[in-house]
Amino acid sequence: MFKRPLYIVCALALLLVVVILVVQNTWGARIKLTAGNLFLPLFGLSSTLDSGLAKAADKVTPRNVLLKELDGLRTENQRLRILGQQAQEVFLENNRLRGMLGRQQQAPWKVKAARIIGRDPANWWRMVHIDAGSRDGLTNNQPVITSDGYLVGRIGEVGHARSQVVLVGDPNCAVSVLVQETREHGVIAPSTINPLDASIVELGYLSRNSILKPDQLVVTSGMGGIFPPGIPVGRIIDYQNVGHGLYTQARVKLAMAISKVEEVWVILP
Amino acid sequence: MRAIHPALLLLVTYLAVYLECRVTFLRDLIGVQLDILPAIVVYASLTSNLATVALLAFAGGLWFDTLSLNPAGVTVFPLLVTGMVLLWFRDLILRDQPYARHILGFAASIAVPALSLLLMLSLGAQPLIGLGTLWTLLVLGATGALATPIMFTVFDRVRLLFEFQPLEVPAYRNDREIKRGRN
Repeated sequence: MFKRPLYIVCALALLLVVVILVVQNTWGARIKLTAGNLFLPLFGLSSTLDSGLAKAADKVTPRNVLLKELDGLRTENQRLRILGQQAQEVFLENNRLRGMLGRQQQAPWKVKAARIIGRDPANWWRMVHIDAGSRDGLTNNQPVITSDGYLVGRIGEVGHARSQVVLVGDPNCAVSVLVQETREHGVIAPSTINPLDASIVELGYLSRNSILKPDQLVVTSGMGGIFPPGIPVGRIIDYQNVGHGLYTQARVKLAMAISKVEEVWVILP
Repeated sequence: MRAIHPALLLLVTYLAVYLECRVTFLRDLIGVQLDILPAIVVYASLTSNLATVALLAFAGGLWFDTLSLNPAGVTVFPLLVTGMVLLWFRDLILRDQPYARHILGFAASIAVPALSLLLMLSLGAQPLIGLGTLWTLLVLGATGALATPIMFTVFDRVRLLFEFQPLEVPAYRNDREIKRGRN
């Protein structure tokens, strides 16, 4: 039952695993990137299949439905153009006023669209893969939002044509936020009661005298240097005093539901 | 011909890891992403040699960690340990019995994620664990219990397509033929 080759191979294999775990900090990302390149053909194939299916679906859609949709999009486009002009005026006015007050001027966001192509296969992380990488100008820690403007997370690791986005609520993605109405600052962390519920997170480090109400909007504060200020994160569900009444903690329902998000926008510097 | 079996196992592992990353509708439904890597390792340990099990655990674990936020190599260790233990006691396991396959699949599918979590915690990572993790482990165990016998059925059938089949010995033997008359 106990054989010498088995013993030797066991020892060698375990030694190899230990070596990989030890060089984790220096070589871990490179090992993962190299091994991950093996999946590029499959990711490419599924993207091609998806676009092929979408094209096929377009071909079988009746002409009157397409014309109706086109009309709706034209109207929407005109409305958004007017809103864009107004926003541009407000933006320029804001920058002029900031200049008068001696504050740093805000630069307009440059964004890059990407499609979600996969999720973390492990059950204890919140991460998605997107089909944009360093070839598209992506680098680590860039903020990611949905098409509605809600915060999704930040770029974790970047490959050539694929990147990992660490979602809000993952332990590796702490977000400095504020309650829009009361301007109370806090930090978003995974829920301690049910960490596996992806839709609810905890807002901690609020002052003990915080006046919070359910349904108040929570937005990014801009502190921390990764997320620009004002990106909506979610709404407060309830709150309680913790740490023997030293500070307040609130539960926040995230605005984005990752299972329903197909496309995201990466904010480029 | 012998290389086909490990190659097939590796191919299925590769596709399984990719599909676990790509197909998420069950995760949205039950809150748990199913994992069949432990079931594949159970099958490999009970039917293949040491090299195949080690290769499978190494490649499967590394591929899984690549598509995950897990530290690289953290899944290799549990898969390897599970495979080695089963290989060690292979002669004592009633591997042809369906209930043994169910139990082994269940145990391996719980042991692999539990060991991965322990290893990650000891490495200083902070995975999302709580009471819900018990539900996750239970679902993973049930998946393994269902998937392992299926692995045996499917792989054994595919194996028969590529390998020489044992010659059936007829009950009638030529050397015991009673010959009548003169030769």
